[in-house]
Amino acid sequence: MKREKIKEELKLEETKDGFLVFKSSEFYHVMERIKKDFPYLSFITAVHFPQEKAFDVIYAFRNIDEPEIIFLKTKIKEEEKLPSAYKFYKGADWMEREIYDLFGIEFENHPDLRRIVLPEDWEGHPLRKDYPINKAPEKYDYRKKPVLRRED
Amino acid sequence: MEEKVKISEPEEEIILNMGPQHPSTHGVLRIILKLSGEKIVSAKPDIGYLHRGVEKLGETVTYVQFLPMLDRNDYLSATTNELGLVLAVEKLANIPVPERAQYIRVLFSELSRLASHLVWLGTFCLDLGGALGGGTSVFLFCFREREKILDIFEKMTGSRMHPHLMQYGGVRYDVYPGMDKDVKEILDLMEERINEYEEMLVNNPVFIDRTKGVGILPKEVAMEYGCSGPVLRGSGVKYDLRKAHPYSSYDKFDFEIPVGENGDVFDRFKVRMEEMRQSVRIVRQALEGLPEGPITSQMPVKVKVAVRTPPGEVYTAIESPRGELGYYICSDGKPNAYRLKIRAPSFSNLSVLPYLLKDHLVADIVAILGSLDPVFGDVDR
Repeated sequence: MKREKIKEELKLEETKDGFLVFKSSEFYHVMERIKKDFPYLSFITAVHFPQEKAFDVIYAFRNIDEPEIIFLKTKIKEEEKLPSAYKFYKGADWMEREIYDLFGIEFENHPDLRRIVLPEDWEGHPLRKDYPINKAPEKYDYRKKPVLRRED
Repeated sequence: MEEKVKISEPEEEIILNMGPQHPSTHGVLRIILKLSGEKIVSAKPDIGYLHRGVEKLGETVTYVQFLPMLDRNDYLSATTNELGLVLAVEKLANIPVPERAQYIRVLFSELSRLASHLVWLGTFCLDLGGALGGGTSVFLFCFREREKILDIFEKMTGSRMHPHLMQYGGVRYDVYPGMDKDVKEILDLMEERINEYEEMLVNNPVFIDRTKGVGILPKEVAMEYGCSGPVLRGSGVKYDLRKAHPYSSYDKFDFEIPVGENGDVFDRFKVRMEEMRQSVRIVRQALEGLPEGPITSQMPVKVKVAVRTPPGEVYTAIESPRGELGYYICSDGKPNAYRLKIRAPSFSNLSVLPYLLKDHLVADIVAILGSLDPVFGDVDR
């Protein structure tokens, strides 16, 4: 199995649910190795832990020829930045924008890091656990900012 | 792409704002196009008009309450949406599922795949417009057939569009007496009609001109972007989660995975048409082999039993009509999820749009967008 091979080669630890944990400082090294055997990026997501002031960022990759899936996980602090996987997988573009939008994690070397599902002047990041959910939503006022800008 | 129309050199680039009120953007999509004459220099899709925060809702309500909300997520194939979450929670909490329930799940997943593909075919031909002999005729034909499938859903569960059929540990409703006759009637009709529609379209020179060689998606690009379902298979990758990682006793069914060759709009059309035939085959097998026994291993959902899961993480994916629909659950042992991520197939499939639109003509946008089959409830969540 290619997953076991990668686990041994990169000396990754495994959680009880089968997620391989890697350090965010080794990001490029790990991605380069994964790309060789798992060319399909399935999804990227994050989980917020407010007590530890940290995020878990989760990556899932698939191998198409020999059906197999691999989950990777890395822990980062709230103010920490993570390198972008765009260099290896083009699909990371929108997935990382979604995480930036909903969690506020910034990705280095991302080609176009903007909000994706919320308006650009939205305050806060809704999927963080400390986001107030009983607050009345603010109205989006198109007159404050033009809808279409020429520099787009 | 080879230019079919001779276009004089334009003087400057212009920006065109397409959508969100454009009739062929399937509801709510805005594309900011940079044009040089009729040619697209770059395209920036703008999504989020239908964002309702489904993932945040999934964290605040219990698993039992969240299930009917998922019907509204991808509103064209409600049963497959429920099936994904139900499988994830069952895997995490180790809830057994009786075999009869698994067969009923397969049966209704495939029926909703048929219904969903019919909507796709109808709207796709509507987008391509009057060139197909009347414009709305294919659209109306498809919706006529779809209505017959939705009638089965209504007879079974009482609701056409949002059936809420699944339940943790099984299904909520058993098949009603005489259902196999109703379903077989539709399947016979469908087999005939699918051939009819395909014959009608592939022999139409205008249809071929607008779809062949347009929007070519190479294999490697499709994989990098995480495209799945008919979009990935249209590019020639033989990958279907029903075969690769069988769930809900799909390994007991006999069916083929259709693949395309060039990865253009026409191939994606062919793959979906063939998939409909295979769905008919699976439904037939499910009806014939429907085992006897209980339909659920849990108490009925009307008795308020909070489904709890042990702490842990799980990811399960199913093949929805649009591709890999996955649910990632991070649980801390409560009756609601700590974090619930929906891996939406339409989201990844749509993200390849800027790549596909480059260097095409404006008129090709609707053909390419229609061939990706995005459902915006699923894209924006």
